[in-house]
Amino acid sequence: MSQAAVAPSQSHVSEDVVLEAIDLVVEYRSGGKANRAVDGVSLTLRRGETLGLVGESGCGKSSTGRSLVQLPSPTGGEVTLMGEPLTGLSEKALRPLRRKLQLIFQDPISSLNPRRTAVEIVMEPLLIQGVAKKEARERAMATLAKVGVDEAMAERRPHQLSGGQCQRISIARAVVQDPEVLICDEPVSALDVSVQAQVLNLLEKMKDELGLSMVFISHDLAVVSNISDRVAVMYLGRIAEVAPSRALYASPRHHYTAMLLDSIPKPGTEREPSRATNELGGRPEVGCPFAPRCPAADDICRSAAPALVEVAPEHLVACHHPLG
Amino acid sequence: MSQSNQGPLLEVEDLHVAFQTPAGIAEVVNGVSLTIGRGQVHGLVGESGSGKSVTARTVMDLIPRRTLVRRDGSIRFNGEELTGYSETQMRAKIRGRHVAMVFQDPMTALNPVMRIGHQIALPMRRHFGLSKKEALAKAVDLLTQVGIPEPAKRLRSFPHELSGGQRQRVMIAIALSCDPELVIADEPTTALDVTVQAQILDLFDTLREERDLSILLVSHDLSLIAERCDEVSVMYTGRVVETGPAEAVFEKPEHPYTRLLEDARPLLENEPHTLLKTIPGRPPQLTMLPTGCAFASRCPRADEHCEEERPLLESHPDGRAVACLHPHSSATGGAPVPTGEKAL
Repeated sequence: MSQAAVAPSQSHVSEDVVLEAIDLVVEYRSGGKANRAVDGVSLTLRRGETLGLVGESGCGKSSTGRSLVQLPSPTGGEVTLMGEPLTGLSEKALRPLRRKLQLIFQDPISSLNPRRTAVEIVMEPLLIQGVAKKEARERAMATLAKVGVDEAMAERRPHQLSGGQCQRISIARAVVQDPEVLICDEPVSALDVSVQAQVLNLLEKMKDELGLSMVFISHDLAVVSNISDRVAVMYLGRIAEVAPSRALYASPRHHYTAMLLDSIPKPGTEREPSRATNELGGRPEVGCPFAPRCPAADDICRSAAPALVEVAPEHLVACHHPLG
Repeated sequence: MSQSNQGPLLEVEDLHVAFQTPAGIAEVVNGVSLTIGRGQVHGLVGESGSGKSVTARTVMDLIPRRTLVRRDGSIRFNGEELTGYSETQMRAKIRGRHVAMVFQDPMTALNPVMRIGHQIALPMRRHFGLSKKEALAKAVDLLTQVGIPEPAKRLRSFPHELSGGQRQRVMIAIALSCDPELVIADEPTTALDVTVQAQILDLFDTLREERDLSILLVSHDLSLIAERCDEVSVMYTGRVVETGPAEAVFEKPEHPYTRLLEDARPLLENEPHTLLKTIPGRPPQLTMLPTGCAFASRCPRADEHCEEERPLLESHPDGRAVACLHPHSSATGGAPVPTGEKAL
């Protein structure tokens, strides 16, 4: 294992930033109390790049993804798409920009309209944009063919299709609008391994063919490492570490990333009992959010939240006592 | 119940389970045989619809019999045949007492309006006739064993006041309350985060060592099964297609399905944008299973014999068995040499 950060092959990734989020804050109100799900997250997505967002439940990865699409708009912070601000826009002003930013959800069957056929589902966004019905149908059929849904299947409704086929239709509905950015929120988590592989390969293919940039949100580190150029690890609403995926897995710098990697089943190795500490304990009022579970935490960690700093090229970590 | 300490703890032989569905009779379990030794962890792995959960639940007789059109085969626990047991006998002698179950979703498996102390105490009061006080005192011990902090205080908590991992620990405490010999865990960590999953699986490891507990671990996750089990059975469309020591099966899968399933997993050490190997097609409908091998239509090694002849699970001297006419040969076993192998 190399300690040096490994740069990913970036031939297809250009320097210009397609999507940028600065200091995102998302708060949900419950019982008059504000609950901060995302606490100052900044991200950049370059053209042609896949950025993975990984973390456990409640870390704010889905809230971050949704606030990028303004569903809903973040409580604080800014999102820009190709230099144009998305935050603070009216619903009407936002609509033409939304087309360029498409979302794919986890549950393939319930995220599709159960009363429409596959082709109708894919046509719908085009009709809303004012495309004539005949042309919309042709474009929808062509896109469905591209994602591997044949003509017979195109006339079926979601409940008559498998989870993998429904996820293909979700992908078709997203790419038919010719977007710039695809935001995938746990797109393969509900699928069996063999189907998961098909959908992941399809996402790679669509991204290449259409020159998309992608934010890929998942709790599964192996899935994320396979598809992403760079990976951001989130913990309790903050980014703990961002790095090119190879570097992140080869030499994690944040103790939380190391704990996650350590917890993944590794067949064939004599396993040490997990070093993962109890999941108990909410977010501390001050200091590093991971301090209560961290093996290296000391007084500094409990009093001041660490900033995200670059420790190697492209490798950023928010930790007072980074590994390595 | 006779406590014969010889022979395997659980023997399932030629189990068949079928349901009536609008599309016809679905043959969900088609001749499954399993053997679990004392203190052994046996993994049952497969994709959705493979029949792994139905197999596990049938052992506990948890599927209402009126919904079934077929349920036969033999289930022997400690040498005693369970298939003839009535619901009352299952309740009094087996469930929760000798065989306990841990389900996937602890939120729906626990009673939401009952304090957890009482839920843990209940089986001990029923099976051992303990008083409320005695049972609650034992519940504190159990919560300590499963790693819940401040157990005495936690007795009065309701399930919604606990995290997912803690709820699963409570489920395990309930399962252990009557000191069972076998725990059936059906996707026990699928709803949990990966760090919590590792802790729960460590807990199973400890319990098995301390109590000589046998575990039937049902999961869709091949890596998890390979890491934590002694023996594994791989299921496809209601049949065991490959079985044997977990390490050997995982390192050198002989059934093409096992091998393809392994290859379809994304691996941490892959380079970014590595294309994954996929399994073409879909499993056949359980209402219309083919006469031959159910995997033949998706199998790169299949030929015309596979379409006609259903392969039986053939045992090798090394403890492995595979149901395939053209298995990948293993280095150690005496697997038959495939004829007319197609390129993979």
